Amino acid sequence: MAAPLAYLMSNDFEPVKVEKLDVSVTSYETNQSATLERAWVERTGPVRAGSDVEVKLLFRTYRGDTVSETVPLKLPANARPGTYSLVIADAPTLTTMEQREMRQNFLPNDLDQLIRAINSLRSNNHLYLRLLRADDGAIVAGEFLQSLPPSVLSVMGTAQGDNVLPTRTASVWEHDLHTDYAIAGSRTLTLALER
Amino acid sequence: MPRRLAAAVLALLVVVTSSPAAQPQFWEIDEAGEFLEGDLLGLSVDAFGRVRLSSAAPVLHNPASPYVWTLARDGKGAIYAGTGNDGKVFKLAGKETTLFFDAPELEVHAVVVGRDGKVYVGTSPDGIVYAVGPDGQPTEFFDPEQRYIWALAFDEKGNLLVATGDEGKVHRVAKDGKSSEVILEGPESHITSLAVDGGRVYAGSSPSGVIYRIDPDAKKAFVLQDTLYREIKALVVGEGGTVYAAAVEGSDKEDPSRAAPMPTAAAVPAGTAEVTVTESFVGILAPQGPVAPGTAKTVESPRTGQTKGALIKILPTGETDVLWSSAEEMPYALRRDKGGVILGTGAKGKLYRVGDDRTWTMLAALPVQQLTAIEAGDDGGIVIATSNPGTLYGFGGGAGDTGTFTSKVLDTETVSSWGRVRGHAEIPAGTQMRLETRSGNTATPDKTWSDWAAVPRGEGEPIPSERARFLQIRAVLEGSKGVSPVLDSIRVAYLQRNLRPQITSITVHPPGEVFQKPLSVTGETEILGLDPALPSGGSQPTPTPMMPVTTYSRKLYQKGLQTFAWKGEDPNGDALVYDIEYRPVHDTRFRPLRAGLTDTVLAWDTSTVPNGRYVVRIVARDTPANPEGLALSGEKESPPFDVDNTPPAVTVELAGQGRVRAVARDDSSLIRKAEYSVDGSRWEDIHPKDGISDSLEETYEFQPRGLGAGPHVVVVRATDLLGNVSTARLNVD
Repeated sequence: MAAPLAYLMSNDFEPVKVEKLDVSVTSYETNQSATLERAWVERTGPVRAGSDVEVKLLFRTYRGDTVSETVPLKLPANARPGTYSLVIADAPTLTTMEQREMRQNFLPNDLDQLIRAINSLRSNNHLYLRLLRADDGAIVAGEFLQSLPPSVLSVMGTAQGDNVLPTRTASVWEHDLHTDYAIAGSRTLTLALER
Repeated sequence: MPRRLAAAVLALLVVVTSSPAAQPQFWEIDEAGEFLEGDLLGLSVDAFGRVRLSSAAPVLHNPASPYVWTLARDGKGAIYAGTGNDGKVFKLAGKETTLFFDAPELEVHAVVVGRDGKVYVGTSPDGIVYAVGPDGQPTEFFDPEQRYIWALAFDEKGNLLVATGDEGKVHRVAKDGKSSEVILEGPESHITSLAVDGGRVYAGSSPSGVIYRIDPDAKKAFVLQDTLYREIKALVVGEGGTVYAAAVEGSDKEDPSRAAPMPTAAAVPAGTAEVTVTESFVGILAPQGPVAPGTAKTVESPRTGQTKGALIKILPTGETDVLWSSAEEMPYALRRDKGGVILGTGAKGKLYRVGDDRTWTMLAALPVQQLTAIEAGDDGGIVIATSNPGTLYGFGGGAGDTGTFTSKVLDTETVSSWGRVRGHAEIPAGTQMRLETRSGNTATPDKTWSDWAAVPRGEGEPIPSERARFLQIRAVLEGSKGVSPVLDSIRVAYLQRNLRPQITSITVHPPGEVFQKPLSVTGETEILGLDPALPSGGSQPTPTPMMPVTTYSRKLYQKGLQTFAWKGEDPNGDALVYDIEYRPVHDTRFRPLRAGLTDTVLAWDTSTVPNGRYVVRIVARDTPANPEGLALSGEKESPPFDVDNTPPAVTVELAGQGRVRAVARDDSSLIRKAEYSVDGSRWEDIHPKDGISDSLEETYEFQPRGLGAGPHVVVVRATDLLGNVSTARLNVD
């Protein structure tokens, strides 16, 4: 809570007045943490565009109990055949992966972009699933513009300055799994889409 | 391959690769592609390489944005320009430009003006369509789930069509914005372009470059063409329903467009310019060089897989034609024009007019990287939006006052002296053209280059720039009252400095090792590099140069022959001849062995010289391509090698107790081995008394096997290091 407030109050763009804060606290007397122990895709036949598969997740809690979750993955109807990566990661891991691709610190261009970034901050009780394919895109002014057509890429690719950075992957499906635990861990699965 | 044909091919190869340094070389710029390789400012070029002043292209507005993605024009003639990366829309009314709308998103790829007077702005990412009133007040009109909005258009009923990515869909949004439906949803990631022709809607996609024809009411899409390109960037519909598509990035699939011809002379209408004077700007050096006028030049269409883009025409009957394609330029913008289209390309900011008959003219080259949108301007002109940097230009009207063609840099590969330059041009009264040159010794012109120097008008004046390796030409055209000079060609003569040839390697083969000619004229075995006058060769004189020794030549053995092979190179590509000399190692004076060889292999009959250790020297001369006094030579010595054509002398005697003593002696090479045979039995090795064969004389003592009651004949055979053999006989009673 302190960090987003600090970002807002110390922003370089314009003064911000905070009218109110809504804080909701739920207290537990146990350690509510878990690690991602296993992840696998359960399917009965070939994986094709538009088909449904189940992503199975197995967590181990602080007390050693195992908890399983199933996430339905519906492949987009326009997904192209090829090899995809299914990234399953906790919030810090996914953010680190994105920052690695961005190759520089995020610097918002205006207050709107800063607020959008704060609103999209990730929670530690979520597990994030991203189905990625190799596809060219760009990071422009700190924003991911994934899967761009060649003409746009060629114009942005010849731009002067370092405001545009190329990216090589695009997310075709995303899911945020809310859990009752502070989640840690990540797995990357490979999924081959057949024609 | 028949032998005679193969020999002819070999001879031809040698002739073609000779490039005499003492004769002038010519650099000719006379084709459209050659002019387009340079920089053209204020000039146009047609498909036949005619360069003339283009229309003026004044800057209308510089929005300080890197990209101007799209343009739209309202009924009053105001232009709206959508830009990135700040998501701004500028309004250009008359000469006044204002910030019309600033979207929260980064990019504005689509702007259209509605019948209601509102400007509809499609933004990305997190695509939203805003309806912006004349006062600049926006309302959110349509918010699709897709990330990008690439194109907007109104159908004939006034509904807004919205093309999206990264899910390729076309939405039809009702006039009031309260309802929408998807009229195209396919497997493509992006719908990148839209065009409306009456009740028909056309859409282009990426990444498979599909062109769809949509029946909006039936929500039925028909694939008009599945192109071999990755994106259909722009679509326009011409007269009679002909569809023009700007296709981007050819793929490597099967390529039916390969048959698409390049512009042909027959297809071009007669020139309309009023020609008043035709003159040769400066006289040309008289001798005709290797690039003679009329020399055939082959022009091939690039394969689709190699092309950056193409302009495809699709007739209502479904027939398609590639009107224009390029391996270097990518098309971004299209606009209908009488008898064809206007095409904006990148990355050298060029504007083309392409006709239905495949003729094209490069109308202008602007100092930007991409021409990303074209819209109608005032007085029949057009407005051009550019990217990198983002600028708005006007274009149209009569020829401008001045234009400059700056050629690419000519690399003559050596320091060259310059001959004369000739610009062939039609220069109407009142107009002018001047040529300038500069030279230097760095591949990229910099401060070390000479200054631009004007080529004097008149016969007999050479290029005024300093001798150097690199040269650049500039042609400055000046018009008068809308009339332009027309430049047809520029031709430059230069003379490369002669550079010294080199022998890069000499191979000394083992004594007696020779190679059979791969192609024999007589049908008999002929030895490569052997002087035909020598009886041991047995071949007839041959006028054609021989092939060098290669691993494919059949290896033979012929006593007394010593084969050398070498490689000679000339930086000018001059034809070379070789002189071969030899000397004993202890002597400093070389003696001639052969002169004027064109071969790079020699089989030397060493029986003509005394035994000993020798060195040969190969001298390469470029005299066939250079006059006396300018010709140069380069040489290289071989490593020392032994000549020994005399067999060792062998003596044999009894040594007592049934043993035999043999002594082998050679005057120039080591004794390699010795053997004996009793009464014609098989040879048995014997070893020297000192245990090692390392000298010119070796003594052997041995007990012959099978030497029972006599009589017997013992034969001893000695071989020297070069394979010379002799025997001696001992009778034992």
